[in-house]
Amino acid sequence: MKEYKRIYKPFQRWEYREEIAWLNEQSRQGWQFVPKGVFTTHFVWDDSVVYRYQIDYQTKVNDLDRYLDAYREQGWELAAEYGKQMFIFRKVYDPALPESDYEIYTDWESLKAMLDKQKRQRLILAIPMLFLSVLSAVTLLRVRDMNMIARTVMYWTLTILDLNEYLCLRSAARREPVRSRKKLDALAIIAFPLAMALFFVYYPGVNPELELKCSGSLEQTFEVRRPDWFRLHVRNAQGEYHAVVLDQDGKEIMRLETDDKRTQKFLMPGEYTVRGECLAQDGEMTVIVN
Amino acid sequence: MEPLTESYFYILLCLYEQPRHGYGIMRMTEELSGGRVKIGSGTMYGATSSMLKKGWIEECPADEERRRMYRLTDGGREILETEIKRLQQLIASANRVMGGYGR
Repeated sequence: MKEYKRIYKPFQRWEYREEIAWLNEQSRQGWQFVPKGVFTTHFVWDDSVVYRYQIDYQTKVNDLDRYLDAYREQGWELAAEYGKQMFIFRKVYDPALPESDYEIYTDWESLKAMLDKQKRQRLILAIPMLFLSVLSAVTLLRVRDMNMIARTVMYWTLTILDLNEYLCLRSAARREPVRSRKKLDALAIIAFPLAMALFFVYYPGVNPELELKCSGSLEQTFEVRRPDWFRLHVRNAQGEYHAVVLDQDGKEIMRLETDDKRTQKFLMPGEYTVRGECLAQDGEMTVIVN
Repeated sequence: MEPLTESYFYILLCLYEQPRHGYGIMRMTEELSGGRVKIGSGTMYGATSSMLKKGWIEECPADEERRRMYRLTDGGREILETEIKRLQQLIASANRVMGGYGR
């Protein structure tokens, strides 16, 4: 009977030394790597053999036959291949052989060339990621009625992810070992969707949504659903006007006079009232709270 | 011309007499250097790819075991000989100094 196990650990392409050490250790314990899964790494139980692993990065292998031959003839077996760019090889471990028999790059010039290829792959993969985060940042800036907590969390998670990506890229560029900040990364990856969820649950923050067109005067009660900064705007105003927001006790907390466009204040959840008045005859305006 | 790396030098040297496959080159290099120089698979593939591209070596029809063989081209032979001359000059210079240059 075959025994399998899955470990919830996405393959970390950039920490290849750590990754190799991990695969070697699993093999020593009797768990042999199987190329399956994206966010998981699969192993099959077989304690009759111990493998040593190596990872190789290539820009693109055109003569795959010749490439694999170079490995085969030294006892390496292809364990996994990703887009003809990253290859995982394994070799049956024989304690009688010297450690140098399990190296695939045996001079620093070729090792450097390989690390350069790895760096290039990393840069190429970083582009969509940076594009996405720029897109998110722009969206964050453009959405007006945005949950304050959600917004803060999203800003920070984006910052952490981008900063981490940048530091990894810098390490790769300087050929330093890439230091992992897995916990911080994991935190950011979990926090981002949570913040998104929070954003959708309390969206909009003002109930009913207030965009009131008026001529003469208006009065409307509304509910604030989450603690946040809210803005009072007046748009398309003709003539003189004033607009105010009052709290439950009738105390004025925001006020706009003619020529003021908007004002902002931190409000706690509760009932509020907005009042507006066009002072000129036939005056018109639109009052918005968001 | 830039000096050859040790791996490049040994690969060319191993092909000087006759065509060989990668494994043969690796073994011979290890033997010639007394186990000091090894050519791992990644290094071997990179070096042979680059030398094929530069025209220093070429692939030749596989032997009866159907293994891929490499052969030195005239260009490659010239590169190797130039490098050996350069190395001999280095050794000669060193010997002159060690033997008491300017004394």
